[in-house]
Order: sequence, then C-alpha cells, then structure tokens
Amino acid sequence: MKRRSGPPAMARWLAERALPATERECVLGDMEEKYVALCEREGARKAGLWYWRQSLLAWWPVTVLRWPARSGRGVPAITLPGLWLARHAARRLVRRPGLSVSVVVLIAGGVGSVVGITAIFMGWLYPRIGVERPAEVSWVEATDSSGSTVRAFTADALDVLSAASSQPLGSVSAAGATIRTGSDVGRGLVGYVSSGYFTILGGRPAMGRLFGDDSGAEVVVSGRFWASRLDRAPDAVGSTLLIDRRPFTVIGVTQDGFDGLESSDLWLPLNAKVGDSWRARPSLRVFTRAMRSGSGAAWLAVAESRLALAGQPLRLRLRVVTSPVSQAERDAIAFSAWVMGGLAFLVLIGACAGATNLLAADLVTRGQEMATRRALGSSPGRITALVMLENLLLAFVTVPFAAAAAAVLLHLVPSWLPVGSATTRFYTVSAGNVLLCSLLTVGSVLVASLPAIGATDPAEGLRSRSSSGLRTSRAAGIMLVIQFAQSMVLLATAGLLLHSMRTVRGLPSGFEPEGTWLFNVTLPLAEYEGGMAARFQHTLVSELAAAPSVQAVGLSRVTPVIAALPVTIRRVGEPGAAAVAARRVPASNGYFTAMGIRIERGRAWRDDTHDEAILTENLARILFPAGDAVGEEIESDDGTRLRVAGIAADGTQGGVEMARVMYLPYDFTRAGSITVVMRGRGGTALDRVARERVASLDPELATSTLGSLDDLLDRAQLLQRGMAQLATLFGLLALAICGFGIYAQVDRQARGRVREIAIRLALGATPRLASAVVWSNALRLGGIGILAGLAIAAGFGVLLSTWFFGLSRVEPVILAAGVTIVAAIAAAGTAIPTWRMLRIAPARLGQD
Amino acid sequence: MGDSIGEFEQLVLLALLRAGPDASGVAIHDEIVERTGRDVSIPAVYVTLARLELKGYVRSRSGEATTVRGGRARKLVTLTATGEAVLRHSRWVLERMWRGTGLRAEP
Repeated sequence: MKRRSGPPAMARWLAERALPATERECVLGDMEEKYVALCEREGARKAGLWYWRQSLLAWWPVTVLRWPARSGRGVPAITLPGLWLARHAARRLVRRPGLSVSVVVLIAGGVGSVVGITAIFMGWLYPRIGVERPAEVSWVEATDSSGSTVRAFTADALDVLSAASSQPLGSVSAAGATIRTGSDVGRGLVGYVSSGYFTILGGRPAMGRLFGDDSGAEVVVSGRFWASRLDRAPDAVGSTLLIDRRPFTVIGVTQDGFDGLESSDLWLPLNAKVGDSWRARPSLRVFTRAMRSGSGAAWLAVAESRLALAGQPLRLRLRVVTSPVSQAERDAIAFSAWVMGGLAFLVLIGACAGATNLLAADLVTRGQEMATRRALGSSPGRITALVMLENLLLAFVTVPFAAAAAAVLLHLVPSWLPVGSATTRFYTVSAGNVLLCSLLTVGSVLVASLPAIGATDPAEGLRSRSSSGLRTSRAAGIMLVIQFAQSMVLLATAGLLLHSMRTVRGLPSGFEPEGTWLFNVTLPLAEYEGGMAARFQHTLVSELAAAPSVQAVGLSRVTPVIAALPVTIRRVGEPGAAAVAARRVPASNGYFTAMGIRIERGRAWRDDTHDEAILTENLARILFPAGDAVGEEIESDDGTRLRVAGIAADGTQGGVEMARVMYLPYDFTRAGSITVVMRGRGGTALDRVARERVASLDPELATSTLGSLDDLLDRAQLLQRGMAQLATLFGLLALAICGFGIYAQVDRQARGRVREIAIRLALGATPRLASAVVWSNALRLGGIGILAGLAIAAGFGVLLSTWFFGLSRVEPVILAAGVTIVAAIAAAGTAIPTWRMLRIAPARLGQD
Repeated sequence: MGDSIGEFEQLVLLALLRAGPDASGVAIHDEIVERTGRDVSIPAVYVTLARLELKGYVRSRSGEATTVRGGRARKLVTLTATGEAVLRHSRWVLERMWRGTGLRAEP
C-alpha cells in the first residue's frame, strides 16, 4: 500500500488543541505511529478516518472525563480557558434560576414575536412555490401594442414560442372542476399542462408515472390530493376519477411537496381540454427554467419577430416566479406587514431593555465577587469574558424557547388572518426561521449585556459599591424609560386598531345578514347549454323555496362581499357625461329579498327582464345628481343600454366606503359558477337542504358552502381584526415586560435602601414619608417614559389614521386610556416592593 | 488494601502487566483492543494512565523520539509495586464475588 505523507493536518490540529501540553507529544506520537502502521496495512483512507476519529475522541477527556491535575508534578490540568469559563458560567446560571428564567422569558418573548410575525407575513406574501428550485423558473409574459400586460397565450402563440426556443417551454392552464372520487364529489383545481410540465418543474412520480407525449384520458394527482381525497390509497394508480363527468385513469401521484406553479390538485394533458375553441383563446401561461440573460434575450428577440410574422406583435419578457400572490394583494398586505413587524420589534426592544435591567442589577450584586477575582489575579479581560460567556450561554438556552414562542405565534395568528386553511401549511418553523431566531436571540442577549458590563468596574467594587451602583442604576433607569415608552406606543396602537375595527363594524353593510346562507355550485359549460342551465336553475330556486325552513332564494353570478365585477357606466343622451366606475352584480329577482337589500324607490324586476338595472343610492346620485334616476337610461362600458328600474339602499358591502353597485337581471340560460343565497332558519339545516336539493337534481354537481353573510363580512375584516388582536397581544406583552421591569428596578433600589429607610423610620419619619423616597424615583422615570411614549404614539396615530378607516389624527381618549393603564402598572410595580420594604425595614434595623 | 479501581483502569493496568515494563501507550492500546475487542481511543488510554500515575500505580519516563512518530518522544510506562498490589486485590475481590454464583465465563 502506498503511504500518505502524514496524518490529516486538520485532524492533527484539532487533537493538538484538545491535549494538554505535557501529554501532547506522546499522544500525538502514538497516534502517528499507529496511523503509519494502519496506512501500510489497510490503506491511507482507512488510516485517515481512524486518525480523525482519534482526534475527535481526544476532546472527550476535555469535555467530560477531564485530564487529572497534577500539582507540582509538571502535568497541569488542561488549560482550555473557554471550556473552563463555560463550565463556570453554566454553574452560575444554575445557581441564579430567577435571573436566568426571567431573561429567558423576556428575550424568548421578544424574539419569538419578531420571528413569528416575520415568518407569517413572509409566508403570506411569498408562499412556498411547490416546484423544484423555483428561483430558476420564469414566466414568459408580454406587453401588447396598447401597453397592456399579456400573461396568457393562445395555443398557436405557444407553438411559435416553442419553435423559436432552444430551451424546453412548459405551459399550464388552470381551471376549477368537479371531481368525483368514489361516492365523494367535490371541487378542485385542475391544471391542463403540456408534456414538458413536470420535467421542467422537477415533478417526479411518488407512485406510477407522469405524462408522456401521447397521454390521453389520464390524470396525475398531487401528493396532497392523494392524501386528502384518496385517503392515501395504495391502489390509487389505475383507479378512475370523474372530472367534470369525464372518466380519467390515474397514472401517477407526484412527490410530496410538488404542487406545480398554480397549486393544482391534479393535472390533465392539454389535449384533454374539451373541443378546440380553447386553442384560439389566450388561456395558456408559459414558463421556462434557467434561461441565461444572453440566450434569453436572443430567444425573446427571435420569438418576437416570429410572433409579429404570425400577426401577433408582442414585446416579450421573462419574469422570475416569485409568488403566487398577486402584486395588488401584496401591496394590500405590505403595510400591515410593516406595522406588525415594527410592533414586534418594539416588543423585542422592550424585552432587551428588561433583560439589560436584570443583568445590570445582577452585576451590581456581584461587584465584590468581581473585585475579589481581580485581586486574585484575574485580568479584566478574563472577567469580562466570563460575564459575556455567561450571557452567551443564557442566549443559547433561550434559543429553543424563542423558537417555541415563534411556533406558538405561528400556530395562533394564521386563524386571525384572511387566509384559508389551505394556505396555512406555508406557516412552518423552517430552518431559516430557526437561524433567524438564533441570531436574534444571541444578538439580543449580548446587546442586553453590554450596558451591564460597561456599568460595572470590578476594581471599583472592592473599594465602594456606590459608584458602580449609581452607573448601573442610571443605565437601568434609561432602559425603564424605553420600556414605558414602548408600552405606551403598543397599547395606543392596539387601541387605535380596535377603534378602527369597531367603526368599520358599525357601518351599514346594506344587507340583513341574519338568517342568510350562501353556497356555490358550478354548472359545467359543456353540458348545461341554454335550456338545460335555465331548467336547472329555475327548478333549484323553486325546490329550495319550497323547503319548509326557507323563506327566500336568490341567485347571483358574484359572491357578495368577497368578489366584484368591475364596470363603468354613463348616462345616455349626454355625450360629455363622465363614466363612473362601479360594481356589476347580476342578480335574480329573489336575490334582494334573500340578501335583505331594501329597494328604496322604484321596484325590483321580474326574472324575465333583460334591459333593466337597479342602482345603489350613491351611484344613482353620482349619475343623476339633479333628479331621480328611476326611469332614466344608462349605458355600460360594453355598450348595453339599461333602464333604471329601482334604487337600492346604500351599504359598504364589506368595505369601508359606500359601495357603488349596479344590479343587472340574472341570465338563467348561462351555465358556470352560481352563488345561491337562501334566507331562512338554521344555518346547518339550510346547508343540508341545499346539498340535498342539488344532489337530487344532479348528483355529479359539487356544492361549496360559503356560510352566512355574517361569516363573509367577518372574513372581509379578518386582516384588520387580526392586526388589532396582534397589536393587543403585543401591547399586553409589552405591559407585562414593563411591569416586570419597574418591579425589578424598584425592588433592587428598595433592597439597597432598606437600612436608610429603617433609620428614617427609627428617627420618626412616617411610612408615607419614607416610601416617598422610592416613589419619587419611580414617578420620575415613569413620567419621562410615558411622556416619550405619548409623543411617539401620537405621531404613530397620525400615520395610522391615513391607512385605517375611522381614525382621526389624534384620538385623545385612546391615548389617555394608554397613559392610565401604563401608569397603573407602574404604580403596582412600585407599590409592591415599597410595601415589602416598609415591612422588613424595622426588623433589619433590629438585626444591625 | 482499600483502594478500588474502575473497570477501564483495571484493563489498562492488566494490559500494562502483559506488555511488560517500559510499555508504550500504543502497546497498551493495542493490547486492550486485541484482547477485549473494544474500540478504545489512544487519548482515553493516556487520560487513564495520567490518573493511575497520580494514584501511584504506574510510573512513566520519556523514551526516544523516532521518525515514524513524527520526531516525537515515546512515553514509557511501568507498573509499580502498588499498582500490582491493587490489581491483586481487585482480582481477589472479584473472585470472592464470583464464587458460588454458578455463572460461567462467556466471550
């Protein structure tokens, strides 16, 4: 065997550090001798591995067994200062459980809040994309001649793009579908995909196989769908699913975590789309992976010229897939994310201030210990290292608790936010979160310990404890002021958000939500054409209306509160009249009664009406400011002329402003998605009636329950309510930290002055006069903190008033309430230790 | 003899007894590995030797430095009379404990 030049240098270096100087030569010599023998007998690789193992095991005696100390015999105890200090620091922390637990709770609460909020909002803004290396995947998008963004292409355009590209392109067109699995019927998202879809996105079969080029009536299901709808059936591959009534054979299940770009439940080949008309419609989203900027630009140029030749002049571009959340949705969330992140950070600052107070107080009590160490020969650096190491160890202990706090927040908060249960799977404690947690915790504890170290001079402690105590007291006072201020800000913010939420809740919705129940049903276009759709809908309405618990039934094409169809309207006969933006709601005659929408003037329509409209009052006022709109003619942006039949009562319809709505007659002959509104008694009873009636008419149709109007109105305010609840939680947390801080500060101060107070009492001072010494300091600090917090909270309130409805620039009642609560907590935090001090002071004098 | 020794200390002393006077750490290590099949580390052997030397059961001196050891000196260890006595006592104790139990030795 060929011999290596020597043992692995890194392993040797590691062993050298672990061995005491006196034993180092002989142990390393033996290891090298053995290494050489092993090299010759079993080869360099095995010998190297053996040497590495020995080097790592050399640390075992250091950390656990310990090398024995030999006084005066030349073999000293192992001198690894770091390890010695670590052991010492660990002992100190165990001996001070009160301090350790307090700092852990404070920092874990602060860090957990920041990490939890960051994870929630990042998960919300940028949910996980269920494909392999999503950062390499780009959408192909375009701008047309009018400057509009084109995100979907026709099949012909896709052919042109594919022919011009040297890279494989994938395409997908997602649509909702009714899926029957055995006896269970439900709605799901189906992705119609090109053959390269899985290859480009890194989809692999966990079972069976994926599509080939000649796939026909075959379906690939996601791991999620397999688990939730197929109950993880091992024989799922080969079974048949009815998708919009058409049979498809399951040929494979994708790996866990693969959801595609559109989070589909299952995928069908593009040629499974019904008919050929889809080819002419721009319905395909196109993507590619890892196209370098140079080749990408060249491809785009070639593709643009070919598209122009084909009569489609488009300017193409690549956009990296970042999030399935739209930019508009992200913009709506972003401000809330910043506010909540800022509040969480305030909690962390308060927690750091609290921990600083505690650590500084602890150092004061250890002043003499430090001085003794110094006198016995410890260098100032070593003492500082000891203190820092203690705090660092405390930080490491805190990390899992901070992660647990973040996990609790991750568990609690999503239920307060306007996201469905399907997306909550994005909120997990990931490796990134844990790393953030660790860095923030270690950073926070170290930042918290810096003023404490600066405040204590060990040498000073032996001479006198007064000056070091004074400096530490000053640092602690500053921290306490910060805590007061941040408590004020957090409480005031919580109050403002709650006030805004209550104001919004108090606005008229324009509906009568009590006793309503809504559900969705989708009639497949291919099978419900014309007469079929009309028959189904008329029968459904009459059958539901005939049910004993139902008082009224209405149909709409739009789900109220959570969806809207935009439209622009102008008056007919006045060419210069400005177009007014509004919402368009196609609604049946019974819709108004079922929703509780009051017709103020005019009348509702019969179900065979086609050319009439009902406007909300405010829309009618804008269009016809001079007179009554009833009987007047209006024109929508598609050129349809309608006569105003009636005026409906105004309402916010889930928003914060009066909604401008134009109700249009409902077209019973159209298939597609329908929202059914029922008014009656008992939500679950109504739901059962709805399901039974739909199933009796067509067992292949799935209903999606939307719940009551109250549920929908609640959902519209989830973000604001969630923010208010979070702000309240943070405010209470900050208040607890503040109360804890002032208690610790006053208690420490009181303990230091017991003797002085005892003498004062003995000399005839009344308890009130004696306690005034302590109270005056607490009042001074609390006053400064509350005033500073008041100023910041007032400024923050002005900022919030521009974003949240129903807030004036200054809300004196809320600010006054904040001041009262913080002052009350400060008083309680001062009163308890003062009372205790007055109790023990006479006894202390007796002892002395 | 009131001193007691741990199992690994006993193994090290026995290996030293077998290897003879002026045994090196490698020789003791190899003896233990070969006879017990236990995968012990060289540093662990040296920690135990240091402890036994403190108790006076072994004594050590520096040996010659060789190129195969990277120019490092060898440590040569010898069992002292006290160490031998401790071993004898340990065996006597163990034999008394085993006697009459009916258990047979197995590898």
